[in-house]
Amino acid sequence: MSKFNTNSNGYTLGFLAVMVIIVGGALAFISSSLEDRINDNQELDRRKKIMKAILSLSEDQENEVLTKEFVNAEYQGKVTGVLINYAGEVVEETIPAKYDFRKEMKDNSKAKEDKLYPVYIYDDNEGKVFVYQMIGNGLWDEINGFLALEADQQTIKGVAFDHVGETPGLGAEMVKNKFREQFYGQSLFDVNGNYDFVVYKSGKLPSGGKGVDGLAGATITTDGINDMIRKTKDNYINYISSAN
Amino acid sequence: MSEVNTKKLLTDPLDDNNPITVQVLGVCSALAVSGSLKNALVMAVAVTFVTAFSNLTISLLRNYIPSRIRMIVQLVVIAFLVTLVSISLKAFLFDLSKELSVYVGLIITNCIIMGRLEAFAIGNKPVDSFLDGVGNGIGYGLILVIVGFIRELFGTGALLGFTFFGEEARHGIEFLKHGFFNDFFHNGLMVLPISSIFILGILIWIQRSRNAELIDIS
Repeated sequence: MSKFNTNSNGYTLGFLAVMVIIVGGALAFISSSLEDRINDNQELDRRKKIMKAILSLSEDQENEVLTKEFVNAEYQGKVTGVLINYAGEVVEETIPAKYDFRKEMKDNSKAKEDKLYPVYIYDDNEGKVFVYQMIGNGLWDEINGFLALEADQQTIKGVAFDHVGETPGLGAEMVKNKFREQFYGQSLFDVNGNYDFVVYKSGKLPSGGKGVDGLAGATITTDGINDMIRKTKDNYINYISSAN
Repeated sequence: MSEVNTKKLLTDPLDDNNPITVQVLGVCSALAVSGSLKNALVMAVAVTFVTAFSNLTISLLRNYIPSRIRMIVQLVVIAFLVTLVSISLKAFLFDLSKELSVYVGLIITNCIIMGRLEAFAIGNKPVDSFLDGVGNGIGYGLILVIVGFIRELFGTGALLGFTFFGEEARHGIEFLKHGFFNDFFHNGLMVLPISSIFILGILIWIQRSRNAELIDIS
C-alpha cells in the first residue's frame, strides 16, 4: 500500500490542490487550443443558415452545394451586412463584431424603437435578396432563423430555421426542407400591402389558400414560428416599406 | 485480490448485470436521449468513453485518493472527461453537438459512471476497471440503441433519415407503397420521453422472464 498517510489533513489538501491544478490547466489548454475551431464552426453555421435562406434550394441541392468552401466564398463575396435602426435607416455600413443580435433583442431596457437590427443583403447581379434575422420562442426554448425576401421586399425567397431544444421528430422538424420549402415564393403582404401571412396549425391550411401548413404534433412550436415571423416583420417594417 | 474473469467483465453488463435494466441506473438519460437512433448511438459512444477512462483513472489512483474526498475526486475526473467530450464534439462534430445540446453535459450526472467507480474501480486493477467501464458503457448503449430504434421508427416513421412509413416512404421501393407501410401514421407518444418508460419496462420484463438468474432480484 501507499507509503503516505492518505487520511491526514495535509495530504488531503495537497491532493486536492494538485488535482485542481492539473485538471484546470489541462481543460484551459484544451479549451483555448480548440477555441478558434469552435468559433469557426459557429460562424460557418450562421453563414450556412443565411445562404440556405437566400438560395432556397431543395434538400438534395443543399447537401450537395453548401460545402464549407462554397458558403464562405459566397458569403464573403456577395453578402454585405448592415445595421439599421427601427426607422429603417442604415446606421452602420458593416455589422460590428461586438454586435450581438440575441442580446439586443432580449434587452428589455430598450424599446423596439431604440434597437438596432441587422440586414444581410445578397447581390449576385441578378437582383438583390434581403435577409432579416429572426428570434422567438418555441415550446422548450429559443427558436431563431433568417427570412430572405426578394428585391420586391414582399415575396419570400427562402427561410432557414434553427432551435435550441424543440422535440426531436416534432418541433425539431422546423429545420427540415419539407417544412421550409412551403415558404418559398409566398408573399408576406396582400395586394393592399397589409401583412397577410399565417403559419397554420398542422392540417388547418385552407386548401389553395396562402400560408404555410404547420408542423404535425407541434402546435406550440408552430405558433412560435408564426409569432416570430410577424415580430420580425414588425421590427423591419420601416426598412421594408422604405425600400419599395 | 481474486482473479476476475476478464471476459465476464465485458459480457456481464450486456445482459445479467445490465446497468439500465438490471441495476436500473442511468435511466434519466436513457429517457431523454433515446428519441432518435443517431443521438442514442453518439450518446452510447460518449458514455462508454467516459466510463472506461474514468474507471481507468480512478483505478490507477485508487491507493492515493484520500478516502474522505473520494467522491469529489471521482466527480472531478468525470467532469473533466465529459467536458473533454463536449469540447471535442463542438470542435469536430459541430452539427451533432448542436443536436445533443445539453445532454452531453448531463453525462456528468449519469449514475452509471459514479456507480461503477464506487462499486468497481476503487477496488480493482486498472485493466479490469477499464474493461468493466467499456462493458457497462456498451450495456448502457445497447439499451439506448434498442429504445432509440423503436422510438424513432414508430415516432417519426423514419430511421437515420430514411423514411419507412407514410407518404414520403417511397424511395422507389415497391413494398413500402402498400398495406401497413402506407397506412401507418407516426405515433406522437413515441417521440416523447414518456414512451421510453413503457419500452424500458417491457424490455426489463422480457429480460427477466427469459433469464432465470434475474427472477429473484427485486
